Amino acid sequence: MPGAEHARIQVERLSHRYSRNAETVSALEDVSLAIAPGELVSIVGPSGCGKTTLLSIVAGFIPPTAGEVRVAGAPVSGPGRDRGVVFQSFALFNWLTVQENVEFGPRMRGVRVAERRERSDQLLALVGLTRFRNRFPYELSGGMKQRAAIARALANDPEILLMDEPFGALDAQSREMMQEELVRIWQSSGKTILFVTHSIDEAIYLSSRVVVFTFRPGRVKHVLQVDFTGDRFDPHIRTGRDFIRAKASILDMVREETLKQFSAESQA
Amino acid sequence: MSWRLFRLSALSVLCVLALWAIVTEGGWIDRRFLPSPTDIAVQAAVLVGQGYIGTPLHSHLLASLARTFVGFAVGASIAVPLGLAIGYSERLHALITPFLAALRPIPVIAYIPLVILWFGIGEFSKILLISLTSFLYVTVNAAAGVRSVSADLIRAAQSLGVSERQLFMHVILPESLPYIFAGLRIGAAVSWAVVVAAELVAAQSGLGYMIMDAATFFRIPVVYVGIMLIGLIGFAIERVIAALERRFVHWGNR
Repeated sequence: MPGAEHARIQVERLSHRYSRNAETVSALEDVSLAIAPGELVSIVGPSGCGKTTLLSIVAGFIPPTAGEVRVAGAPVSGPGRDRGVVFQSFALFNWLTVQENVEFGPRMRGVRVAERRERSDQLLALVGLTRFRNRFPYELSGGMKQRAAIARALANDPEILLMDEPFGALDAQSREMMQEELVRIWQSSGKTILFVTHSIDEAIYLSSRVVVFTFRPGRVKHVLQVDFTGDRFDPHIRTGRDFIRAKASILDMVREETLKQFSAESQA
Repeated sequence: MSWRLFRLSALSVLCVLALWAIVTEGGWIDRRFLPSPTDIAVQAAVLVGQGYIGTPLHSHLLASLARTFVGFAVGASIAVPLGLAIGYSERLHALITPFLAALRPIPVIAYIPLVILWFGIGEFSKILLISLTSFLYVTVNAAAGVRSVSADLIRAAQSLGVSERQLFMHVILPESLPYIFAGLRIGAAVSWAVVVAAELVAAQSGLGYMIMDAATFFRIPVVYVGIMLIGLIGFAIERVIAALERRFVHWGNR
């Protein structure tokens, strides 16, 4: 395990089972993963591979059946502001303006107005929403909503950003723009990011490592080192030879697991 | 609504009024049972000018409105916190829901005889009925509002570091407001209907009383004016709450 002792996120022998319709479903089985500070790691796999479950456990939303998650060495026992979370559904507060959404975390812990205003101004500039600071979430496009949600998650200055299919609800064009945006934010902020996605393309483009999960129970099938950091803003990067090669190998693996998912569903 | 469609609506209303005037003034329908529009207009002017048998019209109107307002205020101010609590706590929900589920399908006017038996025909009885009406609608809606708050929204707030109290006050409460207002709107409309029903049975003042008294003494145009006033005021109540709703839950239904 690379640098397990210095890991920002240490997932150790994690298993998770839950019962559904009087049947025990094993969502995760014996998953171990170490994520170094400043790394962006993606998890890909078919629906039902437990990737969202893993993220929810790291976030502290659900306790694991067995195993442990440690963040900077300390075991996770619940949600906390050291781990910002970004959801596919945006989960913005509709009654607050964009700026008030961004300031929500600092306001709840009693940061003075001037201080949190300064911080939110910076973050709004970072995500390109300065002109829309006084709009309400329902007045924004999907891409803008997600940028607001990212700024909100960054407002508490968490070491870690957990992103659960954050661009899944966006159209293909805004999705690519948001990916570039995220790389920029990641590079300028130095956050450790755990990124869950369906899209293999997205995973390769964004990550330093791509973790492929097996279909139920979710296990680590393969970890692929993919670093396209150097030329991420090259518009042709996604059609380059190395990119395509990485994509083909992950595609094969995910396909294998998706076939298992299909046959499991047709038996059910 | 576009101007064209508005004109169409206006035309439709005018046609019905004209038809009404023709069949009544022309003698096809007995005007003792269905007065003509002009009969009603004249009666309305008389009521506004002279009141109804010595009592000014506005005091009947105010009597009904005051009962509705007090009953609604009492019912809603118990219902909002209780509904929020029921929505928030599964145990409280389990404890209280059976009673709400049993009471809700019963029209409150069915209790009028019992309430009169227990508490007489005074103000208390009427206010009790109205409180119960608004209470039922608002409680159920406030609880539904809390339950509609998405898991992601709660998780987002928790990851931002809120305490339990902050989660409730700054996330669950505002997110439930559209439901609460929907409950207030329906509760107020039904309360207004119930007050009139209660006054029909037992009262010495109020629009319901005026209608019942006028019908007993065959002052039919007064009955029609009363019914129309009830409609107009019900409409106004709904508009007032809808305006408050737009003011406080600008994000509703979006």
